[in-house]
Amino acid sequence: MSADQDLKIVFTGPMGAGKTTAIRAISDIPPICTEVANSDRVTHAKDSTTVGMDYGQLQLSDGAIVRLYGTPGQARFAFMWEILSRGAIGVILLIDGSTATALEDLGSYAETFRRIIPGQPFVIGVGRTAGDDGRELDKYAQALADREILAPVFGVDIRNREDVLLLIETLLCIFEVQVTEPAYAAS
Amino acid sequence: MQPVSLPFPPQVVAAAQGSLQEFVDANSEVQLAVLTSGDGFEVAAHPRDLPAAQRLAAMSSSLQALSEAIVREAGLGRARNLIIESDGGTIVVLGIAATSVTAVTGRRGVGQRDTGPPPLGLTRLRRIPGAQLRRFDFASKSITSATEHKGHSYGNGKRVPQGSAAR
Amino acid sequence: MSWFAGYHASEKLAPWLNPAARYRVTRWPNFGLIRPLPSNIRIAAGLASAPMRLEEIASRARVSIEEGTRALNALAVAQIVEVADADTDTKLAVAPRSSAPRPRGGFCGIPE
Repeated sequence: MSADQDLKIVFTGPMGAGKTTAIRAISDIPPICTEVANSDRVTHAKDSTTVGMDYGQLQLSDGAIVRLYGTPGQARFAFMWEILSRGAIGVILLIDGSTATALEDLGSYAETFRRIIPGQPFVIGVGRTAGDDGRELDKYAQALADREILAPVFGVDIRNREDVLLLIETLLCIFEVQVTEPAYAAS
Repeated sequence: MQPVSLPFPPQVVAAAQGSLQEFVDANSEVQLAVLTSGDGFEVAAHPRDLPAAQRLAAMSSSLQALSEAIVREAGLGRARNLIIESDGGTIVVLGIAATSVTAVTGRRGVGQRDTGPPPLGLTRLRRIPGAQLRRFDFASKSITSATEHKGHSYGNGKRVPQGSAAR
Repeated sequence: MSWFAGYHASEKLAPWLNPAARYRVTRWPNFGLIRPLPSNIRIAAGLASAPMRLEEIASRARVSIEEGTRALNALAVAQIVEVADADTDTKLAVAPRSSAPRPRGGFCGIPE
C-alpha cells in the first residue's frame, strides 16, 4: 500500500437511499456514523438520519485502502457535500427507486455533484426496484442522458455486500481508465 | 425567523425561545445563539430574526454529532461541549441531551491590537441563576424532565465591545 | 441476457462491426443483473470515456483482442454501442490532475 494513493469515494443521495447502510455493508472497520433521531417524521418516516458523515474503509486486493465517506442526504446539510467531496475520485449516488421523487432526486443530485467535483466519475445505484428492472432503469439512464451525463446505472440492494462492491469496483475502473496517461490521440 | 415547515409544536418553540433568552441574558458576551434539534432544525434563535439561524442550526448539529462520534472513538464517555476559537470570536456548541445550543461571541473591535497575553477569547458562561435548563426531547415533541446546567468559566472573561456585529 | 448471448457467441468480430471504426457506448450495460468481470467493466469504462477502435479498447482496458472483441459484440447485441463520427473524435481522456493519485495497475480487483 502506498501512502500517496488516496482513494476517496463519496456516497451520496437523498435521505433513506441507504448510504449509511451501504458503507456499513462493506467497511472493513466498524464505520463511524453520525446518526441522530429524526424530528421530522412527516417528511421521512425513518427513525434516524445522518447529520455529519459516515466513514468506512475498504482494502483492495493490492493493499490500497479506499476511504468511504457518506454524506447526509437532506438539503439543509448541503454544506457538508462540498466539504466531504474534496479530493474524492468519484461519487456513488444512491437512489431509492420506490420513492415518488426518485427521478427528480437523481437529476438534482447528479447536477449538484457534477458542479461540486466536475469531471469525476459517477456510478448510480438504484435500490428497491421491481424484479425485472431493465425498463425501470432505462428511465434513470435517460434522465441522465438528457443532462448529457453518461454514467452506469445499476439496480442494487445496498444491504448486499456484493452489490455495493460492484458499485465501488465500477467507479474505480472508470477512474483508472479515465486517469491513465492518454496513450492515443485522434489521428 | 422560523421556516413555515418546522416540525415542532408552538408551545415547544415558545418554551425554547424563553429558555434561550434566559441563557443569553445571563451571558452578556453572547451575540448570537441558536437552539437546535439533534438533526439540525432551528427551534429558537437570538436575535429572533437571525438570518443565519437555519444554516447555523444545521452546521451545529453536524458539529455536535461529529463531536459525539470522536468522543466515542476515544472512549471518553459522553461528549459535552465543543469550543471553536477564531480570530473574531468564539463559538461554543453546548450539548444538551438531544439538542444543542450554539453561542457565538462578538468579535473584538476593528483596529484593536492584542498587546497582552494571547486572549483565548472564551466567554464566561455563567450559570443561569436559579433556573433550570429544560431538556427538549424533540423526537417526541415534548418537554421532559429538567436538568440543571452547570456554568463554566474560562479565560480572562475579556469583554467585547457591545454592538459589534458577530459574523 | 443478451449480454451473455453476444459475449459468448464468437471470438470473432461480428460482421456488422468494423475493427477500424471508433466506437463508443451510448449507455452503460446493466451490470447489476449480471456479474461482470473487472475487464468487462474496464472495457465499458473506456468506451464511455472516448471513442476507440477495437485495438485501442484492448490496450486501454488491458485485455486481449479476443476479449475486447467479445465485449464489443455483446455491446452491439445490446444495442448500446455506436460508431463515433470522424469529426467528433477527440483526444482521449484528460491529463491526470496534479492532486489525483496515479493508479497502479490492478486495483480494480476487490477482495472477496
